[in-house]
Amino acid sequence: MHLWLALFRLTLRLYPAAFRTIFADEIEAVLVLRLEGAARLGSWNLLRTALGEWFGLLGGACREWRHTLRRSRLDPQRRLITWTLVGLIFFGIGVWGRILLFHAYERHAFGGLIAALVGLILGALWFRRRAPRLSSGLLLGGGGLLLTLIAWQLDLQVLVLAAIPALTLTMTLLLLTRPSAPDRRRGARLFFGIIGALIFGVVWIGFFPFLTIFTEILLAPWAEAASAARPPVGTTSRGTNDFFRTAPGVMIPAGVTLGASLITLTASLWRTPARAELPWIWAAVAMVGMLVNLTVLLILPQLGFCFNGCSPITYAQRWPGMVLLVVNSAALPLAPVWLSRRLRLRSGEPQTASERV
Amino acid sequence: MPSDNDTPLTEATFCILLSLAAGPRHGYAIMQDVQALSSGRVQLSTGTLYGALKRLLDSGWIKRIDAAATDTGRPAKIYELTALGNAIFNAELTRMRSLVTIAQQRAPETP
Repeated sequence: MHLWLALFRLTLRLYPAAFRTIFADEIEAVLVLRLEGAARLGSWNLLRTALGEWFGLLGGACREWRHTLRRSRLDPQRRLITWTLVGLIFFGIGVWGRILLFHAYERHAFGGLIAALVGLILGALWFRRRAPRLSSGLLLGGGGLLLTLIAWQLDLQVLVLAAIPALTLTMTLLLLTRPSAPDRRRGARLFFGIIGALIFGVVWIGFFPFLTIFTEILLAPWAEAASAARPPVGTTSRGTNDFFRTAPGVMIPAGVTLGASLITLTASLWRTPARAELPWIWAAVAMVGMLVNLTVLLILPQLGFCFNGCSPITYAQRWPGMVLLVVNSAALPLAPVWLSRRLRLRSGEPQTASERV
Repeated sequence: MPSDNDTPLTEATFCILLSLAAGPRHGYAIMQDVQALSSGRVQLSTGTLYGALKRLLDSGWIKRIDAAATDTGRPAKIYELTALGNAIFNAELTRMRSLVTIAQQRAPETP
């Protein structure tokens, strides 16, 4: 009986904290009474009751979470980020599942990532018009998984080419669906916005391989070195080098940076007044990020950095580059938030929920 | 005042309200009472019962009262119908009575 009670206590921890605070002690006391009553009728009855109660607790935990999520009063930005994260988790499972199933790394993992990014943007659009329901999140996740699985046959170039119009279309839809004041020159401004969206798509897609190359230079310094020059197998240096030399390791910094940027960008766009020059601004942000990376690459040798081929190669030489990579990677997702705030300030829109009220 | 959205109630909710209509009870007593009222057909697990109780508390149909702890170790909280809960329970009873009346008038007589 003590084992059952321990299992019940553990299961109770799956409930939302608010529920646990009020009812956990009471539920536990009732369960003790239930088990005592069942034990008096024999061990078979005890087992049956205990199993029934355990499944009841598991089901109850799911119901409570569903109820909590449905009732949660999220503002649109938080709602968007929440469900985008749900989608991202599903896409991540899809990409990793494909790697595990098909042992496909370079091409297919990249394809999955592109599919995930496109799916996330479309998902964000979906949630602009939907209430935050768990079923919608699961639907988005399922769609992402399907998209990822379909993409595994496609080549890198095809996916990049497909991603550019998809991003452009998405930005255009965002511009079109955002409520804005009547504009006599709407057609011209829309055309201006679409061109900006196209440029944004190209810059954005170009940024991914660029960051991947940058990652390889910094974190896999022995990638191009002769086998004899590499550290022995089993050492940390060799392990780190090998992890970041190939996919998916080499894509992680780029994926994280662009994934985070995508979330902040979409969230910022949501809260920013509709303006045709927005895609241009975001494209400029991505371009600046890329230029900063290029500059970093150029000044690294001045800071004692050694590119592939130098001897001896050590990770200690790479810390200035790593710091700059981290700073630059953090700046890219933060830039849309800052810019969005500036734009809203300029247009006189309220900044906080209390101000909106 | 109960609204149209409040009824019909689920069987479990109705049984809980029915149990509490007789007087305030603690969780374990509600479970046993519901089982007895439904002749063993409705067997609430503890997880299901407390989920339903939380929903009823949130809706303001029942209230939770501190009760003195007993020697048997029974939970020191009891649940009681509020005026709103009582009104909803009566509205549901009226709805069910009228349904039964209509059904009795229309259904073919059984031998």
